Amino acid sequence: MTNTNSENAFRSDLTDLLPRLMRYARVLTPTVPDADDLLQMTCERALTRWQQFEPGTRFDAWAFRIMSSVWKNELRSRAIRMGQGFEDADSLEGRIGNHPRGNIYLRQVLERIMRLPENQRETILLTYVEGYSYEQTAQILDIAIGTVMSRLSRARLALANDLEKENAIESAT
Amino acid sequence: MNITLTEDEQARVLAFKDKALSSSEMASTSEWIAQTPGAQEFLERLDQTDLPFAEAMSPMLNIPIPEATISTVGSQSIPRTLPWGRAVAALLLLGAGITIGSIANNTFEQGEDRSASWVAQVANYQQLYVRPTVEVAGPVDFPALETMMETELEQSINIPNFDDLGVAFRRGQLLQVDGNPLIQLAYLPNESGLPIAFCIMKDATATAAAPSAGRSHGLNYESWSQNGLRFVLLGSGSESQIEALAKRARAQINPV
Repeated sequence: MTNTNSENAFRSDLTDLLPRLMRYARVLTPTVPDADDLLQMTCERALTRWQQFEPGTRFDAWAFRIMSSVWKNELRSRAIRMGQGFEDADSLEGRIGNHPRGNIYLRQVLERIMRLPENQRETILLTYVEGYSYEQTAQILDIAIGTVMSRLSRARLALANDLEKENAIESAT
Repeated sequence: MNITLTEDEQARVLAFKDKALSSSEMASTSEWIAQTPGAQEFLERLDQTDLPFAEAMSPMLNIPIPEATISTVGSQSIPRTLPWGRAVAALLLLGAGITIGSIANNTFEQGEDRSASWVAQVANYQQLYVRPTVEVAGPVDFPALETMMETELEQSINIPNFDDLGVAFRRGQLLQVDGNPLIQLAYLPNESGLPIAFCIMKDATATAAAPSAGRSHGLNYESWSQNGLRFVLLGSGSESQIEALAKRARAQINPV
């Protein structure tokens, strides 16, 4: 990608990827403004580095990796400094967007995922939703494969416990 | 439930569950699980979380993308700075219906080239607009918008009214082109058609220039300049429609 046409192709690919990047941003960040900032900074970073992208490799994974890096190295600490480093249940509604209310079950599943710790829900997203392998997820997050698997295990156990508690409450009532 | 497996053993069961092992590893792990009660319990636990992750998270793909980001990705040049921060985002709250975005920086040429450059940038941004882009705009806070325009342009400019031409005003927003404030007033044809924009950019170097029609990025436009301001009205409508709207705009923008 060394000419203008390639830059246009790059921009086109980035445009197509925006919805998935926005979803990842909402999964990572505690507030909607944080997600908007993260998406903007990720796109700017990708555009300034577009010539570093290696044709033939996965563009989406490259962009996800940039977003992960920007969040962890630049924006996350700022969000914490501004008192937004903790999950806010009240902001969940805004962060998940206009999820159809018709399917209560799917909405509950999404809410459960979004209440997991940040590192677990991003690993769930990349592995079980985006479909990356453990290894690809590890590369995006710049962590060991074992850490990916450990996060997935803990996330699934937490979800299982969550479901168990709900079932117990329903049985009691 | 008490987990009796080590982390490595849990990872092995998870990989088995996710079918992330080679066929030989799948076979050996299956055999190991069958012989290991703790592994069986852990697998059963994982089975309880066979949730529709992808389906549950798919509606998040419909979350609206901020216009500033669309502008950044669609603009003609690589941004040199990071203009979009919380401080700017906070300004979004300054008045209903007003948002602030940015158009990526371009290095302007001098004279006529410069004039053409800013029009091209505006057209490049405007071509991304579809009807829902401005249809969703809420009620316009005219006093706030007029105040913002006067502050940014350092002149009082009327907001043109095209109602009798079948084109309704929808919203105004502040953008910037190479550091120059640009007011974009967005309109929507009542019946059909894509949004139309009337843009005013403050530029101390702008000299008076008569109306000039042209076409850029698939949009017809008419541009002119006066009193240190550059104007362009553009949209996908016919040349005659753009000309009529531009003529109306020139007649209405002068201070009361």
